[in-house]
Formats: sequence, C-alpha cells, structure tokens
Amino acid sequence: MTDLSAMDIYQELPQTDCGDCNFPTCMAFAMQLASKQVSLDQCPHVSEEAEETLAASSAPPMKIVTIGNGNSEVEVGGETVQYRHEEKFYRPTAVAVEIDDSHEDSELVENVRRANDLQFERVGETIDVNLLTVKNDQLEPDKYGELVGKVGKESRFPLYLQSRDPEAIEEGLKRVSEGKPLIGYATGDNWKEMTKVAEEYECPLAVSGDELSDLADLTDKISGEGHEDLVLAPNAEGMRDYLEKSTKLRRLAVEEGFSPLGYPVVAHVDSGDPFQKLAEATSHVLKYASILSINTLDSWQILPLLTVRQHIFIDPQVQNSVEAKLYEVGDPGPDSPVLFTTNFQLTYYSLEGEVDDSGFSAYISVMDTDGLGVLNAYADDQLTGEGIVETVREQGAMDKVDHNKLIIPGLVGMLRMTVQEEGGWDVIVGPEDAATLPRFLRQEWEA
Amino acid sequence: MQIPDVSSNWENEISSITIGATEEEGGTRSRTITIGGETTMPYLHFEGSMPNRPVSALEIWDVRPESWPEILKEPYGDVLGDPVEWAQKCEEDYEPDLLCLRLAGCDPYGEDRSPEQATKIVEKVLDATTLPLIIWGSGDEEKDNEVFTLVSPAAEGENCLLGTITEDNYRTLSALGKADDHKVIAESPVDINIAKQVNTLALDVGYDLEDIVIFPNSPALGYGIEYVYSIMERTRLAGLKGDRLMAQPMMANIGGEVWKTKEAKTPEDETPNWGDLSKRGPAWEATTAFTYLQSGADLVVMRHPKALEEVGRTVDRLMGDGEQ
Repeated sequence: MTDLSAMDIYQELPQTDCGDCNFPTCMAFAMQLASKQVSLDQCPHVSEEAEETLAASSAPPMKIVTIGNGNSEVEVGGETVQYRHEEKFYRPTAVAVEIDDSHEDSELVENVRRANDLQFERVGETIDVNLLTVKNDQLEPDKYGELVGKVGKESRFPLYLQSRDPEAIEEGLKRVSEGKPLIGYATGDNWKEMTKVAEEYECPLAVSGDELSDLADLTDKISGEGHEDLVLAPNAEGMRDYLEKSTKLRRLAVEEGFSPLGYPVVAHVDSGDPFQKLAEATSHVLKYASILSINTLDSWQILPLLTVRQHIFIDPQVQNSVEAKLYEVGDPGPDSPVLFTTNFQLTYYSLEGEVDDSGFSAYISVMDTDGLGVLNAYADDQLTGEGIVETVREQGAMDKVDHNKLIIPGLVGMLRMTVQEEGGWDVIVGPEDAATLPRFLRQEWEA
Repeated sequence: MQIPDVSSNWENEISSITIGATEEEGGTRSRTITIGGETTMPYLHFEGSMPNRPVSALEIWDVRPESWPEILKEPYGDVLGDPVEWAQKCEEDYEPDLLCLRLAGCDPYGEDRSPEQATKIVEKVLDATTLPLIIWGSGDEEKDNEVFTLVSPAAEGENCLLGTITEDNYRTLSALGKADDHKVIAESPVDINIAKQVNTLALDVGYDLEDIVIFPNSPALGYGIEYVYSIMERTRLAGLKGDRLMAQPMMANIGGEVWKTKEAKTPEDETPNWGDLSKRGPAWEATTAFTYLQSGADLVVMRHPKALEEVGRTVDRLMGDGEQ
C-alpha cells in the first residue's frame, strides 16, 4: 500500500470545512485519514475521482469496532503497526472479566459488583476493566437470557455474551436490547443464525475458527450479508500457537492490508492456574489482542494486567510528563530531605521509587521542563539555576522543613553555586543516578 | 480462502553465549547454560528458530539484604545471612538455571568490604554450588574495578558472566573478562544508542562481541517498562537485520527493580483494593519478567522463588514444551 500524506489527501477533499464528517476542518479529517483512523466514506461530499485516488491508501487496515452504547461503550481495533515504536498502539486492549452461568442469584450479583469495583488509580490515571463476559456453559437459552438480564442491570460495563447457541444469544439480547453487547461465537455451523441476530440487534459479532483461513471464510460470508462489525476469535492450542496466530493476524492486517482479516482480535485466557492466567493475559495484551477475556475477579491479577496495558499503550512519540508540583513521598516532616528534579515521567518515578526504597520520607520539588529529563532539559536551556530557585520558591518546598538543605541532581552539579546564591539555601549535589540515592541518603543525610 | 504468507526472513542470527564450564572444560560446574542464537523475534517458531530456551537466575547477596521487604525474605528465612547456604538453598529447592551473586557488601556506602573478602565469598559459593554463576558488582564503578581485579582471576576457568561494563567504565572489566575467560554484561541506561556505544567501546579494547550480554536496564512494571520493552524490540530487530553491534543476547534484572515498587511490597491493610500481597508481590515480579520475555530477554534475574517458577512455566509454554 502506498501511504499518502495528510497534505496529499487534503488536496483531494472538497476543502469546504463543512464538518459533516464530524471533524472541524477538511485538514483535520485528512490527518485522521493519513493515520488510518477513519475511513473516507465519512465524507459525504467526496468526488468520485477523489474516491478512486484515495480508496487504496485510505482504508483503515484494521476495522474499529464499538461495543456498548452511549455512556458505556468501548472502541477497539484500528491498529496500524506491529511494533509500538513504529508509531503507537491506538486503542488499549478492552479487558473483559468472566462470569459463568453456574452461580446462584446472590453470588451472581456479588460477582458483578466485584467486577464493577475493579478500578485503580495509577500515575494520575484511573485504570479499569472494560467489559463483562457472560458465559453460557450450562443453562438453557431462556434461563441464560434471564441471567443476562440480571447481569445487565448490575453491570456498569457493556457485556460480552458468549455462547455457541444463537438461541441463547437472542434470549440474552432481548433483555439488554439497547446495550449493543459483543456476541459470539459465529462458527462454520451457526454463522447464518448468529449473523441474523447480530444484524437485528446491531451488535458486534465475534467469529471463531481453528485456522486463519476458517476465520477469513467466515468474515467473507458474514460481511457478504452486510454485517461488518466483526472481531476475530482464533482458537489456539496454548500460548505458542496463539502467539503465532495473533502475530500473523496483525501482520496480515497492517502489512498486507488483507481485508478479510482486517478486524480486531479477541483473546480468551484458557489456563486454570492463577499465575499462568496472568502470564497468558500479559502476552495477549502485549501481542495484539484488542479484547481480552479472563476468568478472574482478583485484584492481585487484574492490577498488574491493567498496568501492563496502561504502559504498553503509552504513545512512544510523546514525552511523558508528570505534573510539576511539590510531591510528598512517604510521610515527610520538618527533618526530611528536599529533592529537586524535572517532570519527565521516568525521571520522576525512578526518583520516587528510590526514595521510597531508601526508607526516608522526602519532599520532591518537580519543575516543568516539558517532560524532558534532567540532562536534556539542561542541554535545552530549560533547566537553569534561576529556574530551580523559582520552582522551589513557588512550590514553597523549603517552608515545609526546619532545615535549609536542597538536594539537586548530580547531573546538574554545576548549577550548585547559582542556586545557593540566588536561593540562599545550602545546596547539596546528589548522585547522578537515582539508583544510588538510597545509599547517598543513608551516608550523607543529616537535617 | 488462501491466506498470504506473512513470515519474515531475517538475515542475521543473534550470537550464542555459553556461561559456566564443566570439569572437562576446565571448570567445576555440573552443566553449562547457552543463551541466544535466535533467527527470529521472540517465540515466532514458524519463521525461524530459538535454539536456546530463555533462562532465569536467582539472585543471592554476599551480605544480609536488609532492604528487602519481608514478603521477599520470608521464603529464604535464616539462610539470608550466609551466602553459601543461601546459594545452596536456591540450587536445591528452587532449581534456577543459574545463580547471580551480587557483591552488595562491597558498596563503599554500605559495609565497604574489601576485594579479598569478596573473593573469599565467590570462592566459597563456587565450591558449594554447581550451577553457572553470574557475578555482579556493587554498582560503584571504582570499587567494582578493584573488586573484580581479584575476583575475576579467582574464578578463572568457571566462565562466569561478570557485570557490568558501562559507557564510562569498560576497560578494566573487559580486560579481566578477556584474560580470565569470562563473559560480560554491557549495561546502558535506557538508551539504545548508548547500548550500541558500550559494545563498540568493548570491541575497541579487544573484547569479543560474541561474549557480551546486553543489559539495557529493566524498569519495573509501571515504572517505565515500556521504554525498555521498545528498546529491546528495536535492538533485536536491528540485530536480526544484520547490525552486529546489536546482535547479542539480552538480559533483564527483574528482582532488583520490582522489589523497590510499592505495588510489590505494600501490605493489603494499607491498600485494600490491591489484593493479597503474598500473591501480588510475586505476581508483580513475574509479570515484569513476562513482559521482557516478550520483547526478547534471553536471561532474567529473579528474586522470589514463586516468580522464578512461574517464569519457567511460561517459557515452557511459549517454547511449546510441557503443559499448555
């Protein structure tokens, strides 16, 4: 596929900035097209000529699929690369926790509430489970439908209805008809009925098959019936086999533009062992699952899993920064050290981690350097002696303590005299590397 | 439907490194460990080979590790005060592929033990164990140079992995490694260009690229892991595409980073919604390792026996061995 730049695409658009595509300007739309995040048919005014020119290069290589509706929905897919450093991973893996249909009513409600509570605060963000899988293992269709209704009422997430029986799925959908859950699976045997149900309730549909060619055959047939909201659920025999399939699917979509397999992938964690579930789920998040369904409600598994997702979906092209302010690590008091650093996320968190590890509580005054680390900020003239003094003063860092000592990073030890004279503090040059801070504090610190 | 073939063909092979030496090879180890040799990205067995299973080491210290959280000390109990017993317990009870002896006691800001004391401990540990050995300095460059000047010849013949050489400190350890036939760890601070530079510098002073393991640092899960995840992927891709300066096996120091994090050590009563610490701690360590394994780590250094065990099982699954 040839990639056109946003400017090339813009030349072909009407350039009227009418907004009918839901973007404010034609240029904004062109930029989204260039990064393959929207498809051309969102513009109702594009000329036939332009359509031909742009068609090949503008189709998103992987479809974007929405699960749920209105205030509770999640978008998956639309990925464009195999390795995150090539661009970025766009849409964080939607994590679905599983509820099976073997529970008594009270236990069922309790489990849904536990799932609702699976959210955590990390580095200033809320990280969260996104979907609730309702598995049909044993109940008859009408009973399963009732259960789906109960779960739907309690759940704050969109649902993923899982059954091989189209009748059970339909019974479920009747009870959550507006919820647009993900449903699955369509197989070689039931795809007609499943497609009909998916069409009627306008739901995304998961197709399942052993070989990639089985999946492609199915998506071809189902999209032929006019249903395009599909996700792929490859069956695999273990982690090795799954990794092979998911890697091929990602490459087929983003490198080959092979449209029968240009859909998001849903992975299911098979292992029964708690640690191996986590191993499997981690691999799926890293290697290409847009949706992951896992059978656990335990925080000790969900927290690390969501943390992997949070970090692997960080945009590698953006310098990640933390808020510039005075941080308190541990429970600092008037005798605690005051440290200074810049607001590059990795710099701050390494320092925070080392302080935490040192056994000391401390204040950390963090300066806004546009997310640059200490040395880069210094080289870029963003980090100066005057800047340090201003930051520490504005944040009132030295007012918190009874001593007059400020520790600055070893990498900018040359700024010591300036800071000392301008700030009137006793400035100590700390280590160059945060890793040696604990022993530095143990050795040197005296309030 | 016909599916296009999307297998990649890589031009180059990652170098293989063997650590340890048996009696026949002039050492005293019961076995050797070989890592590297890949001709594909991690675990893509359909398009290339991974002739050597990624391995894990358990970390032991020459001094009692006072800074370790209780939950990490707990499985080891009393042996933490004696590196020899500790090493034996690791070898017998937990069966890692290698041992990693960290000479934390030599830290000038800590106990500041002498090179002679360190050497004695290295010799005792070698005597009491049979697994291949990684010997890791205290992290103080000047002191490490003094310590390895005695330790390296004392371990001659054992084909250890010594660490670390850095951009600013590579001459002494490279020369010792070459003279005494040890492998070395090339460390760089979360920067792929410096990783390449350290290899170049080692090569310049006559150290063999085939004897280097790349260590690009290994931030814990949640603390910058994504930087090194991508650095490792880029390093491995460059190596497979033919850049000889990036075609070395890679390692991650998992335990050393993870057990500083609050997620791995904060008790449940302080953070009730984080779940059971006795599982969360090892899970944080294991998950950090799972992540680096997927970006190409050939060797992970671990601390908690449960995390070690789960990493082993996961590698088996990814290699297609054993229970899936």
